[in-house]
Amino acid sequence: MRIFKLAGSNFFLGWIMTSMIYLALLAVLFSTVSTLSFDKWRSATQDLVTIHVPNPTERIASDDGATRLDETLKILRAFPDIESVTVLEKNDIERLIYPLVEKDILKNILLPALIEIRLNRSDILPDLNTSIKNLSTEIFIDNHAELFLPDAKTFSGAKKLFSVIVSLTLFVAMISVIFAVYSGLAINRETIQVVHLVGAKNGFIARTFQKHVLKVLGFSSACGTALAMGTFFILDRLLKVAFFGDVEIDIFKQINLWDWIIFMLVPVSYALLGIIVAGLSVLILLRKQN
Amino acid sequence: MVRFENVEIRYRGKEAILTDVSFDLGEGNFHFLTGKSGAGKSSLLKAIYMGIFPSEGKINLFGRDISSITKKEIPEIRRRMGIVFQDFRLINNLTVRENVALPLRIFGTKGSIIRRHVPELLEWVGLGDHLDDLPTSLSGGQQQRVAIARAVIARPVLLLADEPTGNVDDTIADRLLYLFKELHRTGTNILIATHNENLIKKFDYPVLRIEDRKLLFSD
Repeated sequence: MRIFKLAGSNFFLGWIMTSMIYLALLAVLFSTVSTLSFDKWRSATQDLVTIHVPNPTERIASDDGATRLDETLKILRAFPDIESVTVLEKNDIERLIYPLVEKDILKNILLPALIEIRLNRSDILPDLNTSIKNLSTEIFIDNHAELFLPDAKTFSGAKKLFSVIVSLTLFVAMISVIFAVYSGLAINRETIQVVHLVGAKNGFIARTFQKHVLKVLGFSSACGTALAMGTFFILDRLLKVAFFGDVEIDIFKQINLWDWIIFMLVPVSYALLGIIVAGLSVLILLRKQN
Repeated sequence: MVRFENVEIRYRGKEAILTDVSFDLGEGNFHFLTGKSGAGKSSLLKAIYMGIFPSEGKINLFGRDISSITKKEIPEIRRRMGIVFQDFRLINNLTVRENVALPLRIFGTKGSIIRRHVPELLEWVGLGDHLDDLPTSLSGGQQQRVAIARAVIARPVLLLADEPTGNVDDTIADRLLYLFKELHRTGTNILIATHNENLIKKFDYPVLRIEDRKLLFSD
């Protein structure tokens, strides 16, 4: 039973809510994917350091004629709390540098030896650094965690930005609900008067408006979610094919069940909040009018 | 049930429409309220259904002084009344059936009861063939009968009708009056505002007459 004429405000509300839910879902997805990628990256580089040994074949003034690389490895193997020591092959080093430097140039450069070590504890780094510097001041340690710090800030900033976007969409959505209720009450002023005279309480009118809003928001949530899913699918394809070639970037594979639940809670929470806001707005506005 | 004590009714900034009105409608009453056009019949009814509050005097409804009634209590009191408005005030986007069912929906009556009673009553007022029509497609007389059906569907304790026979022919007017009589017989108190003297003469009920802003009683 459609007591009130709300077609105009429903149309307006429907479009706004669909757009806001779509934007919110995109923001949540980007936030989730970037957080997951960041965590993956961070866990992969945790307690990982690279030691650069320039002129690795240079002989150190010692009895056995060992090279600088041999001496460095000797120190590392004797050092406690080092889980693994891996000397990178020349090919691997070249592959790392290749995108930055042409292959021909690489032939004429004496590349440093790179030793990747995984630590059991990161607090041994100062002692390790001192021991290595005793061997040669040219040898230095790259701590991946430190290198990662500016990126961590960027990710954290991006996450905050996505939160702001979600908050803004929620704000716009709820303001739209209030506006739709306000215009709905104005358009149906006479009907509301009749309904009051018949004996209706404000609660009845609020519930009737809530039912209308629920229908609109239900439809908008479904549309917004469907649009967002379509966009994810397209992005997933684009990331796989167009930008990264053979590198596997799979949005859907990264997202687990819990993330999907959070994702689906977005349209549901928008609809629920919309209903609550609609009901409260009707009650407040009618109380002001009476 | 309805008691007015020295009531004055005036709209904001305007001259009083009714002054020093006092009357007492007890249980089991059927009254006509008459007077010239613009005499204040509709305003008196409006004061009873609390569409306007008196500028002076006391109105007592169902044992409650309305000046002590809170806004939240007003719907509860209105639910005991059925109101037929002079301009019908039907909801144009609801069908005839839905308009009549509205009070029952508001009161939370079961759907099965609504589905049974509404067509019965509409059949009785001669609109059995218009259940699913919109009010705008009906004539003035038919709309008036829908308004009456809506006012009586919930068996009110007090029925207030403002010119309920104003847009219908004599046959329908008589029929509606018999409906009111039947309602009265089953315990509904009725106050009908009308300037149809023929109707007043035909149905021998007490008359409240408004003249020169005062209320006079006559039999």
